[in-house]
Amino acid sequence: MAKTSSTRPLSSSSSSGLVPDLLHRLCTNFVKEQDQINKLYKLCLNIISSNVTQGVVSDEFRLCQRIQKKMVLRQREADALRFSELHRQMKSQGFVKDTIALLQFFYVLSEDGEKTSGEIRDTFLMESMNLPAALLPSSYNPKGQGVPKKKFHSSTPHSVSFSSSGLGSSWRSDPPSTIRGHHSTINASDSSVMLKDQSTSTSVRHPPPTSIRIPVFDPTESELPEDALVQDLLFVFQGIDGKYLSMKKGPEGFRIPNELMVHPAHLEHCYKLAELGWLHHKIKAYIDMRKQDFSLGLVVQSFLSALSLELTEYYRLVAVLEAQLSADQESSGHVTSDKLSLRRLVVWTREPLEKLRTLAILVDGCKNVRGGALLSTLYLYAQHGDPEVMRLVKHLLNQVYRPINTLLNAWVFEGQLQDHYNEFFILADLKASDDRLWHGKYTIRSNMLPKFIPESLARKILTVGKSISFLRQKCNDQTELFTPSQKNWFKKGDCTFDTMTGDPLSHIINITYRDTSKYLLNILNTQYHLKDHLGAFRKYLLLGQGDFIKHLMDIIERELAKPATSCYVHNLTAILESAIRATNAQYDEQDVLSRLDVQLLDASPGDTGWDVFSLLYRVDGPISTVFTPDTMLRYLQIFNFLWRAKRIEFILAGMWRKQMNHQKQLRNIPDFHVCLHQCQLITGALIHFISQLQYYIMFECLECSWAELLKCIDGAVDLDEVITAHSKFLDVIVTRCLLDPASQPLLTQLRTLFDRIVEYQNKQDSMFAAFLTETERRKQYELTKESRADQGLWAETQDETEREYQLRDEFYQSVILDYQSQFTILEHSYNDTLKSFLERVSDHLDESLQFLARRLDFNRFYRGTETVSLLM
Amino acid sequence: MPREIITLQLGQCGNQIGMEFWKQLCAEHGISPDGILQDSVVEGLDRKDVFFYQADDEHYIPRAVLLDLEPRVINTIQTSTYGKLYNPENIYISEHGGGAGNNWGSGYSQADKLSESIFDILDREADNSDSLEGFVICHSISGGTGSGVGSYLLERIGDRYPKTLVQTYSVFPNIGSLGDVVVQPYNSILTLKRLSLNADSVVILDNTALNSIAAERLRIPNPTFSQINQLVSTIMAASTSTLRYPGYMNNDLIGLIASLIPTPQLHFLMTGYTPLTTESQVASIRKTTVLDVMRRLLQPKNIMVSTPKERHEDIRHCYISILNIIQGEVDPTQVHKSLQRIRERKLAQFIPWGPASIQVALSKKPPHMQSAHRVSGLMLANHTGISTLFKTACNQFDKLFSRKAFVEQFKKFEIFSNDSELSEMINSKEVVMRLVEEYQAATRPDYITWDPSRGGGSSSAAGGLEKFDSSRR
Repeated sequence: MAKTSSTRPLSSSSSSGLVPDLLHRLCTNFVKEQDQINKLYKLCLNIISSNVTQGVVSDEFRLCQRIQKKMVLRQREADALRFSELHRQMKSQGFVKDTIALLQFFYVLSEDGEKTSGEIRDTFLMESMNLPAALLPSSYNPKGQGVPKKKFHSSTPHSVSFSSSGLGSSWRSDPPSTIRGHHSTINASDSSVMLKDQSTSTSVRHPPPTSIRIPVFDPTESELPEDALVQDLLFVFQGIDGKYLSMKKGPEGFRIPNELMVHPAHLEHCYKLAELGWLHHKIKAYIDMRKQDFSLGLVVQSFLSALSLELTEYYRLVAVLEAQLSADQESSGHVTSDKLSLRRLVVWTREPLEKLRTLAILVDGCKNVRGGALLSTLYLYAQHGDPEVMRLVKHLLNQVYRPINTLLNAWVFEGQLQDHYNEFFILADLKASDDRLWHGKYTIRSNMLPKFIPESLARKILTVGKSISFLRQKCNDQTELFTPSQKNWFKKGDCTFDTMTGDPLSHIINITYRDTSKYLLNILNTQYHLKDHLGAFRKYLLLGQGDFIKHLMDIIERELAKPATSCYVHNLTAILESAIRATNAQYDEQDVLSRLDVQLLDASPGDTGWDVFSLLYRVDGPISTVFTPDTMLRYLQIFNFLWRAKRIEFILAGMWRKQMNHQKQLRNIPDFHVCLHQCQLITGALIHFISQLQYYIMFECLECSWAELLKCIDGAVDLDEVITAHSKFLDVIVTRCLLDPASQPLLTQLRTLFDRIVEYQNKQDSMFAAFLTETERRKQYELTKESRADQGLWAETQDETEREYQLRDEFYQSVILDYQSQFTILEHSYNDTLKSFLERVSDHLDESLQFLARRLDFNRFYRGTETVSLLM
Repeated sequence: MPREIITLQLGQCGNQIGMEFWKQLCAEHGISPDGILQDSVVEGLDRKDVFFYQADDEHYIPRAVLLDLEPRVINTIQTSTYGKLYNPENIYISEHGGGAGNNWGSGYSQADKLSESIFDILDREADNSDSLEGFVICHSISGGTGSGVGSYLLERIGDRYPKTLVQTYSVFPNIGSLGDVVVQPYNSILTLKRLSLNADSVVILDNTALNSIAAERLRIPNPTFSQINQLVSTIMAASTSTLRYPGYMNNDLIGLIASLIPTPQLHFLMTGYTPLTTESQVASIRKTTVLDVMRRLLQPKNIMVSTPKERHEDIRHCYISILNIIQGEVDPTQVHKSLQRIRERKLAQFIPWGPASIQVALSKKPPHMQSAHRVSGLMLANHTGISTLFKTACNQFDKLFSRKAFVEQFKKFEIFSNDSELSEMINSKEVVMRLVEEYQAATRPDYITWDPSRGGGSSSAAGGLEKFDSSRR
């Protein structure tokens, strides 16, 4: 009951104008002496501010019976008759709503009067005595003298229920919520405080109540009659200046000119009621200002229309009040119990006042926003503790949301964006070409994203629309994925703006997102063979089709050895064709093979064909969304690296082959042995290096990430996931192949190693040439000797022997040893580079690259001991 | 078609393992015994043209030459279901028909006489290829035909087709059953010389180990030839699988063996295979991981060469190189971890003089082959321990030769006719001993300064005078 006690003083003060006054008049009607009047007056106050009526019978008929019986008991049959007559009249006129309360009051009063023991109730009085003592007599208004009893009675029910608010069931018939609502939000600044945490809410300026001028009360001076004020207020309600109350320029609101004499109580009511007019004015101004401005967009328009609707409802009330007033005026002078009083207005306009206040706050908050942002703002205001306010704002939100809903519908089901006023949270870049349809064309405009749509849902919405648009425009697929009834989901299911608890919007989006994405992926996989193309990239640009690559390298070698400027695409294309025909590539889809081509990169001076050659896989249509120019560039980058590594592998295989062949020819000359052995071991180390590098590339770079890619694609929900997985696949390969900028120094070292190998190949070739010539020379010499011996001559003279001896020695000294030292130097520089490469790689952040270091030095040869020099 | 490989099947043993090999290949490629491709086979996954070519009527015909000096085994092949598979022109049986009598000299001499006919066939077959990668010779080193004819061809093929590789699958005799061929040690040493000098790569199939694997691992008490040969064909098929199922790497023979053979002499490879059938019961219970396969491949019991422990304490045999070909559904990410584990635990001992590691190649399994094993693995390894096999052969040779036992049988053949000292035999043994020495040298860090002409591990002499081949002067 804390609330009751806290509100009581307020209620008392607000009712101080009317109730005590009426009571006082009532009392003077019954008794004449001032003492008794005061006593009775106290008692009455006591009664109406207590709950004594509770003990009294609540059945009207029985109550009447009891009152009449009481009168009869006291031999006042005439009174009893008159009572029943009056009661009947009262009932028939029907202006007193709460007759029973009235009767109860009288009953209690009569009982108390009998006992004449007002003192007993003194304790009850305590509360009502909180009223400033001075106010009680001063609120007594003699003007009311002569007011018929009826009229007096008529206003009491309100007073009763008013001041006994928060008590038992007796006041239920009156709209208590209004009263309570009034108290809780009587201070407009209170309500705006509540909303203040939402930044857009600026406190609404209300007519400052302090500006009420309390005129020195002088009963003799003529005051404005209440009726006139009411009349005036009705104008004011509609934002029109009244006769007395008029709108001041500026924010102060309506004022009554100081020179007019208004009863203080009336004045207070007036200002309170004038707030309505002020609020109305504010809202109306907002509406009028924007109504003609179509550029603000549909959402603002619908907000305005929603506001107008609310105002219309308000006008309806004003109209009713006006009707009442004019009815009152027609019957002026006549006894009318439901005359439109200021107090009544206050009560009746309590609800609209709340509404208008809320609307005014919204209007203030939504001054500078439009489109989705307006929805966000409204949504924030809807987060209100007061269920009434929440209901109102949500109701508005629902209406304002409609244009967005329409846009959403077209977007989600048709992939069309008809956002002429830039209100939607999805933004189309009209300048973006069709190729960028998936990637750059549509983005989320986060400032237009209503707050009740979470970021994740918005992304799904974006994807759904993009998918549909993609299907329609790029895939020429006009299949309707959803039945018309499904498309009505949006129209039916009004958004509850509560995305946390599975509201219809997120439900629908989830379904459409799932189905559309699935359909799109299916189309890409079946109709556009996405996986086949991925496989083709792997087979050809990532050298997965080993036999083809091997054969291509075999037959293209001669062409690429030429300077880059003498390489011609048509020659290379012909070679490519024959490589395809000769290998398993021939079994590939014709569509795939026709996309395979060669390209020559820009040549720098001195480049050979090897430096500029590249395979090319052409993609177009929807597939190019996955294979963007950016990814193609990365494929090219990777291809060049792999192609280079492959070439080195083949060079070394060729060197090994030569060794095996020449070994058979050269092994008979022991002079060569050390050099050949050295050569073989270096080749062995190089082959080990390149084959481990290749195994690393195959497993760590290609196989593992490929397996990961396939897994991701099979599990992908939408195209974005496929694109992301593919891009990640390339990222991993780029990183692991040391092609990312961070690994540049490592790649440079690797290139150096490759260069060393090519250098070494040339050295070995020249060595073999020299050795073979020497072998041939010696063979000739032996043959000469033999033929001489056959002819019975001396096989060789001393001189010849000497010379041959010298020649061989010279060859050993100048050629063989020279090669040996050259190889040693080469080996040293190779080993140094390799070791530093290994050191760096083993510190690399990528775990796979660390493993490359371990692979390359599996038996801890490089780390373990310093390599023993071949020449000691 | 590029990178073709011609298979030469020599003698009884060579033809038997050859037949099993072709059976296996046909099954893997979905080719029926009469050379017709089964309908269910999807083109584009495998490369049949490395080992087969297509006749005018689209039949697949093996690039195989069957050669024997006696008709028995080849007749069996021709009357078998696979009889129609081979090109009849490629089947050559000596008109003499009496075989080589388990005498290397006989085989060698007959091959010399028949060389024209033999090379006619080889030339035709080689011309039939676009870019011949090499020859694969299947033979035994202990008999007469396989060893003698094989030796002769090894010496000639290199000259005739200098750009091709010669790989052999050589069956080494079972030490335990010396009985049937008394001159086996002579045959072996004489063939080993040619294998050492003329072949590019030799895959050794040691009957001793094969028999013990059959007996102990497969629980076959008295394994027959065909059972042993089935083992052999499995190994041959697996070792060529990367050639037949192209991938990123190891698509040609040279790529396969170049990384295994660092110096020309050290080209003898041993093999290991898993799962051997008894393991299949285990495999069906637990999951076979890459690590399991790789670990098992390193276990001596799965290796097809018996290498008795070296007596000398100072020799620590080690791997020069290892290539594991793993077939079946394998998670490629496991390879990394398995290698890591093996490296950390030092499960394999490697050479001290150069970089060496385990290479792992993944090969697809033919999709239409129903295999009991999810994952199978083949190891091709170059291990210095193989030298003990040669040493044993030398010892057995010495035992006979010191007494000049049975040498008369050889003297009657041309190659020994002007060679009363039997210097060919002595020379052959020297070559084999040099090979043993080189393998032993390869266990030591100073192998890099090893001089083949001197045999020692000492540093090379500075002057050229000593280097001059004294024997020639």
